Amino acid sequence: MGGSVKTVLKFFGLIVVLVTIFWLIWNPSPQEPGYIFVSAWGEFNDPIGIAVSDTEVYVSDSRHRKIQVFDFDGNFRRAFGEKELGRPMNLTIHEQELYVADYWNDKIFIYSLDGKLRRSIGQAGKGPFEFDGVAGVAVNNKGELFVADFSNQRIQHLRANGEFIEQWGTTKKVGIKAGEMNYPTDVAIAADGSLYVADGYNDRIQVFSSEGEFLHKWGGPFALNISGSGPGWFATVSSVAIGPQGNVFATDFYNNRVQKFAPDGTFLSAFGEKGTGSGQFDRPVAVAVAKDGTVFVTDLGNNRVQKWRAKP
Amino acid sequence: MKNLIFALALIISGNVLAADSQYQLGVNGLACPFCVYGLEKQLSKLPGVKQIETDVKQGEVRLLVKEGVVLTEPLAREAVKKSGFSLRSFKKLNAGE
Repeated sequence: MGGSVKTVLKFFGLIVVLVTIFWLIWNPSPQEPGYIFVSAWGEFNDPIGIAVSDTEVYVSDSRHRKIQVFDFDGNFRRAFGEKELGRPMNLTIHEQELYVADYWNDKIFIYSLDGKLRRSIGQAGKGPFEFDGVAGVAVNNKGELFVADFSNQRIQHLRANGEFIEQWGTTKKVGIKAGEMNYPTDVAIAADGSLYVADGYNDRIQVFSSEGEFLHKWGGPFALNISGSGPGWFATVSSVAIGPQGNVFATDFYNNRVQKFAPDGTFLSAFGEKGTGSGQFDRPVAVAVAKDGTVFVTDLGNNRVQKWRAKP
Repeated sequence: MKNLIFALALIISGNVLAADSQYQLGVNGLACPFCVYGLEKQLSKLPGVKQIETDVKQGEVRLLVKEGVVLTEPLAREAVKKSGFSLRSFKKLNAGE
């Protein structure tokens, strides 16, 4: 009898230890004070992508099929793209040009920052340099493109002229292993050239070196598509952006928040909650960070842009 | 005479509007904009589709299809499947619905 009680106690002790380890590893505490809400603005019909230049905020107003531009206080400056855009998605700015991922046209449109269309690349399909639902784009310092090819389940790496270099993920095949994709939504390039992928429906971020090697991933236990609302967990990652200090910001779509991580995936802080009030989100889709660290977020369901600042 | 022309114009325009058909599709799993736009992209390729309205919360899509074109359930099902979703229901709406 005494032996069986000891066995039961040992068993429960083991469970407690395992739960504690699990809790400590996958429920990290914030390492920073976090962010405070500053303001919100806009008249949109599905604001999706967002990017910032030195002085302006660019927003893809998706169902209005255009890009809207504001100053950092939310004052409207101009709009463009109505003639050619179908469903503009995530955005990026590289060397004074705006790159617009167009989901419906399966193209990337490239504009000057004052709104003049300079060129477009891509076409519909599943071959190299073809897209099926372009969701996001990033550009490295050689001018090479990295494209989140959403329904093709891959990230394409292209030369500036569109020539195919390589891809991560197997075309049209969802995968969960390192380097495989499940509807990737966005990409970002860090200062050292490493590539950060918002692996949307795998609920994780994947990181690759500038040479294309898989480095690491995070998002819930083992980053194996286990959705959750704890710190560092995701319920669909819809965009990724790199801040001025090299930290990683990601919109956690169904958790109605933005999460911030160190480049190695260490959880730093999070902000936002579900709602319609100040500082609340109804499915935040994309995030962009200005040089001074101010964070801008597209708040899809509330049809607005929100501006946040780091707590002192 | 003016009144007659106005009345005729009303009748003609009414007939044209009435000639377009509306369909309501129930689609499972609709949620994020990437998914919704993918579905709308496939549905817009169907013959005669003039307008698409999506209610994400209800998981319903309304299609306006031009006069003379009939949308069949298998066609709609295939388009929904291509976008990665499944068709829950298919219904042709009567005028006023």
